[in-house]
Amino acid sequence: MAAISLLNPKAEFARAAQALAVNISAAKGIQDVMKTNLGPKGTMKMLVSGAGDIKITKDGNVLLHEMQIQHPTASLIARASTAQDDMTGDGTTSTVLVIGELLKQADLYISEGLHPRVLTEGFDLARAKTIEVLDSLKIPIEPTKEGLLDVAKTSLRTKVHPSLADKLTDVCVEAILTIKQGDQQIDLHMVELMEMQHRTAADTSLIRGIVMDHGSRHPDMPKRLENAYILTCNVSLEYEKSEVNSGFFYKTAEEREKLVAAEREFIDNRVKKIIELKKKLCDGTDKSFVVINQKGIDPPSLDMLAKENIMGLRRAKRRNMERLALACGGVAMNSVDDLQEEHLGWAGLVYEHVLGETKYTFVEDCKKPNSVTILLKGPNKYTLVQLKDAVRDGLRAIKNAIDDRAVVPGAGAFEVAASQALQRFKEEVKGKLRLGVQAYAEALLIIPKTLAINSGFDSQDTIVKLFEESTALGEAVGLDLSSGEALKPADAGIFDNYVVKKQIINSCTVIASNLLLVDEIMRAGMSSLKG
Amino acid sequence: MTAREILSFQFGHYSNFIGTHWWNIQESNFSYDQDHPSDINHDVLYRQGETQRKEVTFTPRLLAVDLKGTLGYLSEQGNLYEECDSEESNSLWENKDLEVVTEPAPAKSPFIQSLEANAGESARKFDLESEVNSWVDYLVPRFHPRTINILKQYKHACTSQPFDIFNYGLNIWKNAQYSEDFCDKIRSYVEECDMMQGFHVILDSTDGFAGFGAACIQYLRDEYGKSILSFPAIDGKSSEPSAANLIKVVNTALCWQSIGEHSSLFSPLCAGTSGWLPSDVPREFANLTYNRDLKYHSSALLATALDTVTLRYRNKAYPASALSDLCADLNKLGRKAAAISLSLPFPMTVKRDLIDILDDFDGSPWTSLTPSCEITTDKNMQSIVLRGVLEERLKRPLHDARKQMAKPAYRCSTVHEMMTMYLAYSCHASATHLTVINEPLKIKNPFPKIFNNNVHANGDIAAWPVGEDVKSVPVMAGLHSGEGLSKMFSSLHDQAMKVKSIKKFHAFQDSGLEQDEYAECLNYLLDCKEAYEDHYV
Ligand SMILES: Nc1ncnc2c1ncn2[C@@H]1O[C@H](COP(=O)(O)OP(=O)(O)OP(=O)(O)O)[C@@H](O)[C@H]1O
Ligand SMILES: [Mg+2]
Repeated sequence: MAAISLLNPKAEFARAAQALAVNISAAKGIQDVMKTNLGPKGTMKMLVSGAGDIKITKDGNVLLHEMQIQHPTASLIARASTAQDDMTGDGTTSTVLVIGELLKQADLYISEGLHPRVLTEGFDLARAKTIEVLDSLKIPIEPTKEGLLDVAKTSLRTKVHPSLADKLTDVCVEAILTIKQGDQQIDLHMVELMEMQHRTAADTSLIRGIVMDHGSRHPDMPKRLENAYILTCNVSLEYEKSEVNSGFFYKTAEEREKLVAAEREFIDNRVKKIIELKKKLCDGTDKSFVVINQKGIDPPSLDMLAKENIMGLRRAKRRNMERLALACGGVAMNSVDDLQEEHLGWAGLVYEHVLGETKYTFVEDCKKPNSVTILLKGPNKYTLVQLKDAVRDGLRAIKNAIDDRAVVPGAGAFEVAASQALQRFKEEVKGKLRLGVQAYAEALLIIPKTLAINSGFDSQDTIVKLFEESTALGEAVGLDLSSGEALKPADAGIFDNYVVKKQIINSCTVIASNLLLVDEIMRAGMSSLKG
Repeated sequence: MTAREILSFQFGHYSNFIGTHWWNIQESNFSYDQDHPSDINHDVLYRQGETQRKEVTFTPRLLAVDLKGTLGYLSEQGNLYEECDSEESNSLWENKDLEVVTEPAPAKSPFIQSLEANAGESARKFDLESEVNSWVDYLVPRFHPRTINILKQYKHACTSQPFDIFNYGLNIWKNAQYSEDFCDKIRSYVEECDMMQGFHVILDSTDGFAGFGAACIQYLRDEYGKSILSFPAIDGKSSEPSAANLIKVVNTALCWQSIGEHSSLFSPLCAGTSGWLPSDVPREFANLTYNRDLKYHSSALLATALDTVTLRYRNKAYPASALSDLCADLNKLGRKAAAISLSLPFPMTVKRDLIDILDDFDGSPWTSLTPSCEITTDKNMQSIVLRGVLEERLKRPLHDARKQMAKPAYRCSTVHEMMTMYLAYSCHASATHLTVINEPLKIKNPFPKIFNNNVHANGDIAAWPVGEDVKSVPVMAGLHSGEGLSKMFSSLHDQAMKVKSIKKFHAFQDSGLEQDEYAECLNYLLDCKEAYEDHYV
C-alpha cells in the first residue's frame, strides 16, 4: 500500500504547512472556476479547442476533466467529483465548492495556530449532525408522475433552458415509468439514448420501443412493415472463410471451390429455416416478418430473405438483443434449429428512416415495452452531447428519487437549515472542537451564497434574509432566484435528491480532512491519490 | 466490384505515424485514370459514404487512437461531414450566460497548408524533416467523423502522469463508458461491410497503448471471430539504457502475450535491429539513407512493408484471396508470430533483367524489420509480395538472349514463374506463397526523401549518382515464419527477466498487475521460443 516513492521526492521534505497552503490554494482555484456554474442561473461554458472542436457544459465533473488537471490536490478533488458522479449522477459542482470552502474556513483557524487535527475532528461531529438534519428534511414521495416531475424538472433546468427542460422532464419521467416493473430496481440501460443529428433539440422524443442506427442492407427489402413478428438472434448468416485450411495445401482451384460451396450451403440452410417459419406463420395473413441478427448477414442471405419480403438487420448491438426481447417479447435465439412461434416477438410497426449515410430502424407499437428509446435530436454533435448529458442527469435524478422514496428541499434550503442547526449544536460541543463545527456551518453556506451571486444578489443580504425567514416560519426556506427573496421550495417545486446531498456531505468531509492532514497523508502514503 | 473489407486500427502515437504513411501511400497510388485502373482494390481498406449534402466521400475504414495534445489543427470530427444547418445554435442555454473559452489555433505545417490550398504536386519543396512534430503534420487523407478517438485521461508527452504502463491502457478499456462508445464505432463499421475479411491492428507495444490495443484485440476476437493481423510496433530511435527502457520491455512482453493469444497472426515492427537492447543499431538498406531518430522516417519504412505485404489480399486479380488464407498459411503449431521483411527498392539494376539480377543476388534478398530477428532463407513458411517488376524486364528475347539461355530460369515466361523458381531454389525446405503485382509503388510527397542519389526516377539502381527525383519503385515484402523468431522471443525473454519482480515497479503493481501474471508472461515467451525451434531437419 505504502508507496511514498511515487511522490516527487521533494514533496516529502516540503514542510507540512507549505503543503497545506498549496492544497488550500489549489482547492480555491478550482472553486473559482466552478463557482459561476452552479444552479439554474449559472453560466454555461463553451470550450473550443484549437482545432475548433466544441464542448458545451456546465457540469462540474465534465469541466474538471476537460481542464486536464495535473496538480495532485486538484486531481484528488476531481476524483471526488467523479465518484460523486458515478454514484449519484449529480452534485459534482457542489462537491467542488464545498471542499474548497471547508478548506478556506479551516485556513482562517489554522493561520491562528489551531492544529488541523482538531478541526477535522470537529468536522466529523458536524458531518454527523448535518446528516441528521438532512434526514429530518426528507419529503416522502410516491413513484408516480406527479411525485417525480418536480425533482426531474429541478435537475434539468440546471442544464438546459426552461422550455426545453420542461419538455425533457416529461420525456424522462414517461421513459422511467414505462420501463419500471413493479418494485424491481430500475435498470437505466433499458432506456437507450439514440442520437440523431437533425433538426432541433426541441424535437427530442420518447419512442416506446427500440430505435436502431442501422437498417436493411438490400435494395429490395421492405422499408416498412406492420403487424410484424420479430426474430432476434445471434446466428451467423454469413459465409466465413476459416483459418483452418492453409492455402499451401490446395492443389487445384476446383478443390477449393468445392469446399466453399459446401460451407455456403450450410449457411443457406439456416436462412431456409427462417424462411420456413415465416411462410408457416405469415403467408396468407396480413402478418410480416423481421429478422434482427447480432451476427452478420451476407449478400446471398440478404437476397434470399428479400425475396420472401423479410426485413433483415445485421450486426445489431449486443445490448439491443436483450432490449428487443423486453420491448417486443420473444427470446434472443442462438440457433435457428428449433425455431417456434413462441420464440418470436411482435411489433405493430417497423420502419426505416434514412438520414445522410445513416439508416435508422424504428420498432414501435410494442404491447408492453419494458425497454424504450429516447431519440435525441440536435443540429450538431456538440449539441447532441450536451443534450445527452442533460437527459442522463434527468434520468438519474428520477431513479434516485424512486430509490430514495423521498426528495429534499432545494434552492439552498437544506444548507441553510443545516448551517443553523450546526450553530446551535456548536454550543453543546466542548473545547476547541467547536471551532471545527463553526467552520463547517460557515462552509455549507457556500451553496446558497453562490446561488445568490449567480443570480445577481448580494450573498450577505441573502443569508441574513434566509436565516430570518426560516426562524420566523420555523421551517426550511430556500432562495427565489428571480426575486432574491426567500421561498418555500416545496411550494415552488424545487427538490433535490436525498442521496446526492448525503453523498456530498460525506465525501466532502473526508476529502477536505485528508487535504488538511496533508503531512499525515504523506506519511501514510499517497499511492491512493495517484490516478 | 465487391470487396472483402478490412477494418484498420491504429493505437498510439508511433502507430499513427506508421498509419499516416500507410494511408498517404494508398492515396498516392489511387488511379483516377479510367483507362488504367489500379491493380489494387481500394474498397478493401476504404469505405464509400455520403454527407448530408449528398456529397460522396471515400475515407479510410479506420479507428485511430491517440492521447490529448497530438491532434494540433486536426478536428476530432474531421472536416468532411459538415454539420447540418440550423437556426438553433448553442440555444440549449440562454446565450447571455455562455462563457466561451477558446484555445489558440495551432499552426499548420507548410505541407498541410499547401494541401488545403489545393496546390497540387507543386514545385514547392518542403522541409518535412523539421516541420513534422506529429503525424497530423503530413496527413493527406480526410477522415470520417468516427475515425479519431482521443484518450482524454492522459496527455501526450506528459512527464508527471505518463501513459507508460500496459495496465493503464487495459484499465481505460475496462471503463465501460469509454469502451462502449468505441465498440459502437467498431460495430457501425462492421455493419456496413458485406463480406468482411478481418482486422488490421497497428499498436504501440511499449506504452499504455499496448494494453488498450491488446484489450481491443481480445474484444474483436470474442465479438467477431474474424481474422486479426496485428503489428505491435516499437520506435527504434536511439536511447540511453534506463529504467524506462525496462518498463518498455515489460509492456512489450505483456502485449505480445495477449495479442499472441487473441490475434490470428502478429508481426512485430521496428526499424532498429534489436528493438530493446541498449545501443541498438538501425536496420540498413543498401540504397536508402534515413534518420532513425525521426519517427517520420522510420515509420515510412514500416508502412511501406505493410502496404506491400498486404497486397496479397487487396488486389483485384485474386478477389478470392483473403486475410484468413495468409493467417492459415503462417500460424500453424502455435506459431502466431511472423517476421516482416522489406526490400526497398527491389534492386532492379539499370539495364539488367530480372533473370540476371536474381542470379547475382548474394546473401539475403530482404531486410528484416522485426526486432531481434534475422530472417533465414531456409525452413520458412512465407508469404511474399513483389510489385513493380514488369514483364519486359524479365529476360531478353530469344535472338538477343545469349548467356541467359543457359540459365534454367530462361524458360519462365512470367515474373511470377521466375520468382517462384528462384525462391524454390534459394529457400531450402520452405513453403512460399507469392503474389506479383505489376504496379510499382508511386512515391509522392510527403513520403520522406530517403532514396540515395543512385536511384533513378523509376526506381532502377545505378552504380553512380543520377540525382533524379524518385517517382516510383519496385518493392518486395514478406511475412516469414521460421527459426529466426525463436531468437526474437528468447532475446525478449532474457531482457524481460531482468525485471525479476514487478514489485520494483510500483506503477505496474498499483495498476493491477500481479507477480504471477508476469511470471506466466515470461513463460509464455519461452513457450513461443520453443515453438519455433526446429528439431527435425
Ligand atoms: N430553481 C431553482 N432555484 C434555486 N435553486 C435551485 C433551483 N434549481 C436547482 N437549484 C439548486 O442548484 C443546485 C444544483 O446546481 P447544479 O446542478 O448546477 O450543480 P450540482 O448539482 O452541484 O453539480 P452538477 O449538476 O454539475 O453535477 C442545488 O443546490 C439546487 O438546490
Ligand atoms: Mg446538478
